[in-house]
Amino acid sequence: MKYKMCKKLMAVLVALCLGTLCHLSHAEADQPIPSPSATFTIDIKIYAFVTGQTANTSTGILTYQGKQYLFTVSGVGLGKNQIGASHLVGSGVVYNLNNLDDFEGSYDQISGGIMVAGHAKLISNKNVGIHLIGSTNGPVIISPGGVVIKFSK
Amino acid sequence: MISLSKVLCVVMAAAFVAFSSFVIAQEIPAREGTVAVEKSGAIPAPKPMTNSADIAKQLANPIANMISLPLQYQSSRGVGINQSGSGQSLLFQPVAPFNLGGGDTFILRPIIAGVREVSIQGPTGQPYSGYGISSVTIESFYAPNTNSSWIWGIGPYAQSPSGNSGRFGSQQTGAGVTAVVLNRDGPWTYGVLGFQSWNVGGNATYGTQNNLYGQPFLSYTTANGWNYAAIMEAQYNYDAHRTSNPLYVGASKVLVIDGTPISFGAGPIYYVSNTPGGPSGWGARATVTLVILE
Repeated sequence: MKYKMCKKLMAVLVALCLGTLCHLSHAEADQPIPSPSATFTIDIKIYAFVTGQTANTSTGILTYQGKQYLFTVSGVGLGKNQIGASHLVGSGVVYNLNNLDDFEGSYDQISGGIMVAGHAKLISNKNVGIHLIGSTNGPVIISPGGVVIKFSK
Repeated sequence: MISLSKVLCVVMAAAFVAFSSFVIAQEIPAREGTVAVEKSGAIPAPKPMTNSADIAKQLANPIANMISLPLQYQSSRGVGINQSGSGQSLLFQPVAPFNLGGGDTFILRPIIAGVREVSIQGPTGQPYSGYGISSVTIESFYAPNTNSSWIWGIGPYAQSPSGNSGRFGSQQTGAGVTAVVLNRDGPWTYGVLGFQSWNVGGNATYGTQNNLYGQPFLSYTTANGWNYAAIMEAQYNYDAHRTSNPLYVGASKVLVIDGTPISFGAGPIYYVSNTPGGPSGWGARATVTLVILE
C-alpha cells in the first residue's frame, strides 16, 4: 500500500518537475535574463530660483569592470513653475552595458518613481538599462527629452 | 525497496522545491539582479515607504529646501537735505524657509543694512560722512501650500531704530504686517511684496516708521538662463506725505561655481520720486545671491 502511494507521489513529482522545466525554458525564451554590467552612485542637486532661473549639479560614479568613471546627469528639474530645491541621492545597477561608451545617452523612465516608490527603472536610446534606488527631499521631474548622462571630462 | 522509494521521494521533492525557486527567481530578472547587488552591500536597499500620499504632499513644496543668501550693494546720489551727498548701502537679506508640514512653509527674512554716507546734510544742518548699521528689519511670511504656481504669504514685520545718531535713518521702532504674492508662469515671474509699518515708540526727529511699502516686480528668464527684471520699491510715509519711489531695472545670471549656484545681477536705479533728504536721481545696484540646499 505504502509502495503504491509512494509510486504515485513520485509520478506527480516527476510531472511537476517536467512542467517546471518547460516553464523555465519558456520564460527564458520570452525574456532574456540580464545580469548587472556595472554599478553606480549618484548625487543630484536641483535648484529653481524665484526668477525662474535653474541650476543643477550632479556627481555620478560608474563602476565598470573594476574601474570607476565620473559622469554628470542633466535633464531633471523640479517641475513647471516650481521654486526651491531638491536633493536626490541614489545608487543602482546598470544592465546590458557591453561597451563603456554606451553608458552615455538619453534615458527614459519605464517604471517606478524615485519620489514615491524610492526606485526607478530607466532605459537608454542604446538599450542600456538602469535600476536606480534612492531618495529625494523634493520633486524630481524628468524633462521631455529624458535624462542625459555624460562622462565628465 | 520501500526505503529506497522513500529516499527517491525526498530527493524528488527537494529537486522540485529547488527548481521552483529557480524559476520564480528568473521571472523577475532585473529586480533579482538588483537585490543580489543590494545584498552584496554594493548599493543600499530602498527605504520602506509609509504612505505615498503623505510622501507626495511632503515633496510637493520644495521652497523649504533652499536657503538664499543675497548680498545687495547700492550706490545712491542726491542724498541729504541739499541733495549734495552720496550714499552706499550693503544689504544682507537671507531668506530662510522652514517646513511646517503638508507643504506649508514659514519664511523668515531678516534684513541687515550697512550704510556709508558722504557729505550728507541732515536735519541739524551739519554735513556728515561716516558709516554704520542703518537698521535691522525682520519680515516673516506664513506661506500655505497652494498647489498652484501662485504663492502667497503673510506675517509680522518689525524694524529696529537706526541708532542714536539719527544719521542713518529713523530712530523709531516700527512694527506691522508684511505680505507677498507672486506667480510663476513659464519664463515670467510677477507679484507684489509689501508691508504696513506703524511707529511703536522712539524719537520722531529723524523720520517716523509710519510707512506703507509696495514692491511690484516683473521678471523674464530667457532660455539661456539670463533674467531681466523690473522692480519698483515705493514707500509712502504718512507723516512726511511723500513717497520714495526708486525703479530698478537689471539683468542677472546664475553660475555654478565649485558646485554652488550663485546668481549675479546688476542694473541702474532711477528715483521717480523721493522723500526729503533721501536719495534722488540715478543710482546703481549689484546683487550676489548664493543658495544653500538644506
